[in-house]
Amino acid sequence: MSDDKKQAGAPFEEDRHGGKYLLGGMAAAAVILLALHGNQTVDGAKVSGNLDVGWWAEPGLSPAVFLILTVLTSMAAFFAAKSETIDWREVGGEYGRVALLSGCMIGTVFLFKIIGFALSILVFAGVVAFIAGFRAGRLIAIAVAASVSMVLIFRVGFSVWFPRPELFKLIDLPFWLQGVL
Amino acid sequence: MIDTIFLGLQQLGDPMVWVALIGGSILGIILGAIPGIGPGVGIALLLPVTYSMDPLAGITLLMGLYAAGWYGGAIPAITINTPGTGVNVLTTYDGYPMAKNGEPKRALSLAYASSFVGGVFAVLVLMVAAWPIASLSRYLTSIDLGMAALLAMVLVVVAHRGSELASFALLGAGLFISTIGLETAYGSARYTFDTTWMLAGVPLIAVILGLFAIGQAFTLIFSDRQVAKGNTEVNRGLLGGFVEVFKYPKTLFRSAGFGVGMGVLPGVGEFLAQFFAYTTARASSKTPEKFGKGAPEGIIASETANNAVPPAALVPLLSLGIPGEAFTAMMLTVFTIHGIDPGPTLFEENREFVAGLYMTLLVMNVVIVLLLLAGTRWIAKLSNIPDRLLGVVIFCLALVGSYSTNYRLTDTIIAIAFGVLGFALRRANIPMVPIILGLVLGPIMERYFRQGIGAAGGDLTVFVSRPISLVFLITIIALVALALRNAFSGRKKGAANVNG
Repeated sequence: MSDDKKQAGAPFEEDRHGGKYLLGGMAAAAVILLALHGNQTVDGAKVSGNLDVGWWAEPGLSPAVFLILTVLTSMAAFFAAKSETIDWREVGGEYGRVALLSGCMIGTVFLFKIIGFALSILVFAGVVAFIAGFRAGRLIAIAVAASVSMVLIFRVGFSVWFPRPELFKLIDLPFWLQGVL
Repeated sequence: MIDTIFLGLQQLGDPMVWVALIGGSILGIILGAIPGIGPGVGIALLLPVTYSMDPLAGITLLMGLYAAGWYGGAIPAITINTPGTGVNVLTTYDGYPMAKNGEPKRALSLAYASSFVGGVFAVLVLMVAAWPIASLSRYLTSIDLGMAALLAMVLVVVAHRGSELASFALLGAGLFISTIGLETAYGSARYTFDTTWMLAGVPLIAVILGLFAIGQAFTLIFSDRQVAKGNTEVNRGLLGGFVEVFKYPKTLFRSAGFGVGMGVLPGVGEFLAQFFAYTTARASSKTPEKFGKGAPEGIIASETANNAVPPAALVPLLSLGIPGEAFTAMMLTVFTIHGIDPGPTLFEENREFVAGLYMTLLVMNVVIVLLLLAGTRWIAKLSNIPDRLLGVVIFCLALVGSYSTNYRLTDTIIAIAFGVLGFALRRANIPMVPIILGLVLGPIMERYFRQGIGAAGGDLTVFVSRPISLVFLITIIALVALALRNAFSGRKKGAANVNG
């Protein structure tokens, strides 16, 4: 293996962290879901109008088995993992941006119904590009190019339907243009 | 066999199949050639589109992405020492040194030729092996098939050495998520929290888009990878390798054999195939000292093995209906949507589909090589695209893909939630494949076990009274014991990584 390999790593070769906490969180979530088992599944024998098919067909059997598997293995993985030192400020900043991007995605779904597909993607791509660190001319170019590409791929290419936005009720646009935008 | 070939050629008369074949191949090469993306993102993004296509065209599109991705991944591995996909890592060992020594064309040509031989060899094995295995599966009972599904999942977990416990946990999570919604025995709701939108279960498309596309987009948006400069000025003169590979017939066909063998086994896949092929090639070489410094056998071993895997991975899917890894698990959903049941009946009731698939896979390898020979000069420059720009593009595609499937905000929210999970899993280096396999195989396993145990009147000795089931059971117990021993002995040695 040549020394050059150290110089150029792919994104999937970055330093990793947070596994112990993620597994701990999974174990906790699985325990909570297991505690809700009685409330979230029904007893087959008590379902009105149905005969008792047998224990193997009980609706609650599979979720219980799979949750127990998750609890046991994620707890074992949690305790088996080496302890980690986490820079919580860095992690907080990173996941804060993840939350911001997630919020933008949800917001864009609402925007589809108000300003239409093309404009929503223009806004969304602009915001994501801004969060990604692009500024000024490159930001505008990326947002416009992304919006045009998405219109060409989904609206023109695959004829994907989207609900008619409120904006088009206010502006008198040709029908074909409304279909594209 | 001749009938099958003629029947397959007839299926190639459909222009949509050609559109899917060429389109999938081009996209696969592009996505493979851009470091850090890989065909998984493309398959996730295009999966909803394939549901509205003819099944053969849909599967061809996905297979094009899958197979061409590995071909394309060799380009940045050789030109800039950065593998396009994870499975091209070993190609950098000899491909980049060869390119650095002034022979980038030779390295690329060897990679293309090896990939072509591996791919075609595996398709021929698929044509020969899938039908007999499917015929044998006729003698399997529900219990045997349920145990086969369980064995496939356990093999996937065990294959992730160093992350066995975390993989088990994710498998459990995937299996649990698959139970959400209405169950079939009593028609009762499970874990729907009294909502109506959860009655249909967690949408697989949203989960796949989240884990593979949105999770990857988050990773790319925060990436600070500097684009490496390399020798990307390559064009013509790429045919020489198609003669040179046959100067190393043992390495070539042994590596293809490793690829097929590992591809058929669930969970093993490209990584181990190329690892075994490479180490065996070095051990049996007359000039092992040249490995890592530009040995042609190194490129041949790595590329032949990893490209033999995709067609081989279709063997258990077509013959038993059991996918062995995430990509074929995604393909199984296309079968399900179109009401095609993989297994013995597939070869009787859908002969045209099977024959067409064989022929498209064969033609696909030719098309991919032609595309690479014509376009390597431009494809090589794709590796210079900044990660953050790719992240923006994937976000836009994933947003539209997740919403337009059912026009439900909840689908987008589920995709985002799994995107965050995928991002966290990538950060922690925990594999995502077990969760997808759990989601896809969970309902299959539950259905078979309910049928089998029900037919036995609830008698659990049915697991050991059936010889095939008994063999599967013993294998599963042995594998789980091995995985647990590895997990805990690794910890004792202090070698356990963060995943346990």
